[in-house]
Amino acid sequence: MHKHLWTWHRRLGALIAIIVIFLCISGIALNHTEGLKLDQRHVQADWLLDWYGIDAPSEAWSVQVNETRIVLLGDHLYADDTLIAAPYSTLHGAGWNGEMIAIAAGAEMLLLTPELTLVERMTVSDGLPADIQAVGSDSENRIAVLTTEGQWIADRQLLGWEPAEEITDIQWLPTPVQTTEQIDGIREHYRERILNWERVFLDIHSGRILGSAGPILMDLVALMLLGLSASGLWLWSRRVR
Amino acid sequence: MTQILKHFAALLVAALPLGLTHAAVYQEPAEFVNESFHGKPPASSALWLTPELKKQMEEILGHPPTGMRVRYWHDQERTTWVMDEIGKELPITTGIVINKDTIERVRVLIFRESRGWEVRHDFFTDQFRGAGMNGKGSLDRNIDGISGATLSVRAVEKLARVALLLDQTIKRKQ
Repeated sequence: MHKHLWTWHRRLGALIAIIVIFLCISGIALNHTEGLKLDQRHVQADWLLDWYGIDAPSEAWSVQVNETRIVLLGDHLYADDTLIAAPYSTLHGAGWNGEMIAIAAGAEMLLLTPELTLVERMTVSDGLPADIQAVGSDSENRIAVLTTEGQWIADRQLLGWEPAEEITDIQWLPTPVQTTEQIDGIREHYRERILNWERVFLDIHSGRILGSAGPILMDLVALMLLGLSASGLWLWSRRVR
Repeated sequence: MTQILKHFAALLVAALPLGLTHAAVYQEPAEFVNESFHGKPPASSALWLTPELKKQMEEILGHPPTGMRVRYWHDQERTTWVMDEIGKELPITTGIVINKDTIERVRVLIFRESRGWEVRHDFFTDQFRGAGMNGKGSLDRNIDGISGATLSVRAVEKLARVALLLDQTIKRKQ
């Protein structure tokens, strides 16, 4: 009986050793999520993203302003290949006032320098007109917006807005169009921002990385560990005697 | 099995924008500004961030500030700021009123995180009333935390310190 149990104790230990190693590593990592910034670090390994079946949307909304291409992919807003901000549900348009690029997206207007540095995210509380439908500019290069309430024009610094119903020289800029072209780089970037390492370690720890069978496997491993503990204690007590 | 994992990933991808867009709006920022100036808010102004000011803000926030300018409302001794800071994953929009170099009012306006919403309560935000900045760039009083809302507490406290710093910067310019 004693020899038989000893053999099974060793076999069981060897069988679950690898899983226990993964459990320990993932457990330690999760205990230090904040310090290791696991929630801020995104998975970039293609094989792991493929394993999760993560892909970027195949279509984007795009509009050209000055020499910059503004793209809304999913809910991520890009200027050329640079991620500017998220999340946005719609891209209404973009304009250039000679100093700044103004992008109307969602309920906000984002102001960028020509170097694509974010100057400000304007909202309704900053005086931005609500329900923007299109972006334009007048002969003095001031940015204008068309809303359900009428048309508005901003000052040169884009600090304040005033009604512009009587201004007749506003040129409405092209509205964004749907595109699948030249968005491969952005799609790759988008894909690499979905999955963070905290999620991966949580899935490794719970077994969900292996799909629905994973948690059952982890339950079995837990039962085996209980069995190992019991058999280990029993074998130790026999040796002490 | 791969199929099941793909369903799980699809749920993850689908839940991401939902999580990002779900927000509890306790008070519209425009309404907060309006209330801060008794229904007669001045026109907004913008404070352009100098490299030195950015550095000071980075020391408080633990990361560089977003954007090159910060909007505020200013009337006599009172300034009002509406700013965002991430608690754990999503921005918490907070309104802060500074009057005569001390905090008059802090209010959490929009909360998007799944945990830590307790910071919206008056028992927490009232602690900031009358607080100013000490010589080391910290608040001149201790703010009691809330268990389970550590990151949200930290975010609101950081914004209060940033608002005091920016208020001082404006006053120095005058």
